[in-house]
Order: sequence, then C-alpha cells, then structure tokens
Amino acid sequence: MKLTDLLRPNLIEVNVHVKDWQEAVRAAGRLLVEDGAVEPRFVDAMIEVVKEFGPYIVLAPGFAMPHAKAEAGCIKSSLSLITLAEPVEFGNPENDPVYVVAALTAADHGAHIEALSQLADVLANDEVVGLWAKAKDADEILKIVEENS
Amino acid sequence: MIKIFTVCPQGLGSSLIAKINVEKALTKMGVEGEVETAGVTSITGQTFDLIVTVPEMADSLERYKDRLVFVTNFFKRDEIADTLEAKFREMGLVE
Repeated sequence: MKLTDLLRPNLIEVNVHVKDWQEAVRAAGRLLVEDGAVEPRFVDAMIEVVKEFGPYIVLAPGFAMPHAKAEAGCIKSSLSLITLAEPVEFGNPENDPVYVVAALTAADHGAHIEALSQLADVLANDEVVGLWAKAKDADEILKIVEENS
Repeated sequence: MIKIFTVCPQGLGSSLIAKINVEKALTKMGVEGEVETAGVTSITGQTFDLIVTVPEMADSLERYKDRLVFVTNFFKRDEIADTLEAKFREMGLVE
C-alpha cells in the first residue's frame, strides 16, 4: 500500500481555519468520516489520546499526526491532511506551532507500514512541511509528495 | 545484535515512524540490530537493549531510565543516528 493509497485527494484540504488544536484534529478527522474511512467516534478517540498522553503526536516542527487504535472505529486505512490558515499550539515545546495536521487511521499493523515508510522519506526533507503549508490545493500537496518520494 | 523497541502510547503511529528511521540509522551506522514497535503497556516483560521513545513517556518508562533514548523530531535521521550512536557508546554496545 503506497502513501497515495492512504492520502487520497478527497482527504486533503488546504487553508483550514481553526481556533485551537482540538478543532484542528476534528477538521482532519471530519475528512476521514466524510470519506467513510472511520466512524465518527474515531475523531473523539484521537483527541482523547492527546489529552491522556500529551502532545507527542507533534512529530516534527509544524507537523502533527493524530491517530487512534483501529478498535476506535477504523473502517479502512487512510491518512487525511489539512493545512491551517493560522497555526495552533499543541503544547509541544520542541515542535509547536503546528500548521500541518495529518490524521492517520490504520486497519491493521502491517498494511500501512510501506505507506508510512514513504511518509518518513518525504518528511526526511525538512522543507516539506513548509512547502505543504504554502500549497494552494490538494494537487499541489500530492505533487510535493511525489517529488520527495 | 542490538534489540531496540520504539515505544509510543499506542504503539502504532509514532513508534512505527520511529522504527523506520531507527532501522535506517542502524544501517547507516553499520550496526546489526532488530527493531520492534510497542505500546507503553506491551513493553512489560520484553527483552531488549534500548528503548527509543518520546519525552512524554519518560515517567511511564522510568524503570528503564538507563536504557531510554528520546527523540523529538521523528524525521531527522541524522539526529536519530547521532543520538543512538552516543547511547551505544555509553552502554558499551559498540566499539
């Protein structure tokens, strides 16, 4: 399964307006719900994870990857990605503020490893988060993925 | 052979990305190792040399504090490699 199998064009939205991190996670989660990739309760689960364990999901400067367990309502492995019109703080001292949020849902452990490996390759270029943040539409986001894979 | 667990609260997102980059770092260093992911609860009872995790897990993994390595940027492979190498030396796992 490739990264673009998870990150489909309808799961990308640019320049989203949110006022805090919870709204940002909900906005990324809403795309998964509308796609049929998760049940609505999965979105609440992603927020609960951050409340319980802290903002460790901010994996790199400006980039957060909320996720929850498959049992929380995953229907099919997917990744949604939103860019924020105004960055928000998750409370992560190293990597705040966040301006790209990618919500991950994985149906099982094996299927998404290749896709995440590709995501790791893409984000190994530390300019990518900034390039995504400036992208004008989903096509441009996907083009950046392609150019850095 | 060095056995490493990458640990995050759930053991599926961050720890998987950490595993991918730790494996790449080991290859770059020419160190033979095995890397597995675990959630913070499933690490109990496992045998390992080192845990790579996030600072948020420090309290939950306090009992392993001599064998912890923290990463704050999961995608900086060079930084992960440098941190691992320093820890390996400290632990006497590499020459």
